[in-house]
Amino acid sequence: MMLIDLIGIVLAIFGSGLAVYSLESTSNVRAVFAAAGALLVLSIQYWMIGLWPLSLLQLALVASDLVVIALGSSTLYEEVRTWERGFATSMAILSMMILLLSLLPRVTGKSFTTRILIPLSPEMAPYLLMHGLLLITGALALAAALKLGGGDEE
Amino acid sequence: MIFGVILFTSIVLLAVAIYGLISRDNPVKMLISFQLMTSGGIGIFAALLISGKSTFYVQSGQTLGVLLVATDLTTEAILLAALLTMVKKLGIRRLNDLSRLRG
Repeated sequence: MMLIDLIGIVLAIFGSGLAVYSLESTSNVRAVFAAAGALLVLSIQYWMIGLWPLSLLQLALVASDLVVIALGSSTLYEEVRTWERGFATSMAILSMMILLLSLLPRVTGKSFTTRILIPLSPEMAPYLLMHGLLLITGALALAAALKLGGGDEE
Repeated sequence: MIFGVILFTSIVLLAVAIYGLISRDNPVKMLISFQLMTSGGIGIFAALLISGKSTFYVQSGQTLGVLLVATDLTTEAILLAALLTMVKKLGIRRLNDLSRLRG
C-alpha cells in the first residue's frame, strides 16, 4: 500500500464522519460547515488522482452550496454573527485551496501532466457557470424574501 | 486503490444524504442532504469515468456527470422556490408542519 492510498483511506473515513455529523449536529452552523468539509474531502480526493478539473468543479460546488445553505440558515435561524466569523474563515480556506490548485501544475511539472488520467469535457464549463449563477441568484432572492417574510410573522 | 476509496466516499455520502432526506424535517438539513447526494452522485460517475478502459465508459461518465449537474441545477431552483414559499407565505419553518395543509 502506497502513502497516497493511506492518505486516501484516512480522508474517506474523515469525510464520511463529517457527513454523518452534519446530519446529527443540533447546530445549523456546525452542520453546514461539516457538510462543506465532507464535500471538500471529495475535492481533495479528485486532486490526489490528478483529476483537477473535477476537483475544481467540486470546489465550486462546495463554495456555492455553502453560500446558499448558509444564507438560508442565517435568515431562518438568525445566527448572523456566527456566520460572519465562519464565512471569513471558510472563504479564506477556499481561496487558498483555489490558489494552491492553480499553482499545482507549475510545482509538480512534468510528473503532474502524466497523472491527469482523463480530462473533463469542455462542455462542463457552461453548466458549472449556470449552476453557480443560479445558486448565487437564488440565495440572494431567498435571503431577501425570507427577511421580508420574517418581519410579517414575528 | 484510490479509485475504490473515491467510490466508497461517494457511496457513503449518497447513503447519508438519503437517510437525511428521509429522517430530518429541518429545511437546512434537507438542503445539506440534497447537496451531499449530488456530490455523491458526481463521485460515482467520476469513478465510472476513471475506471473505464474503453471510451464508452469515459463518454458515459462525462455525459452522466453533466446531466447530473444540470438536473441538480433545476431541482435546486425548485427546492429554493418551495422553501421560500413555505416560509414566506405559509409561515412554516419545520417540514413536518406541512402535514397540516392536508386539512
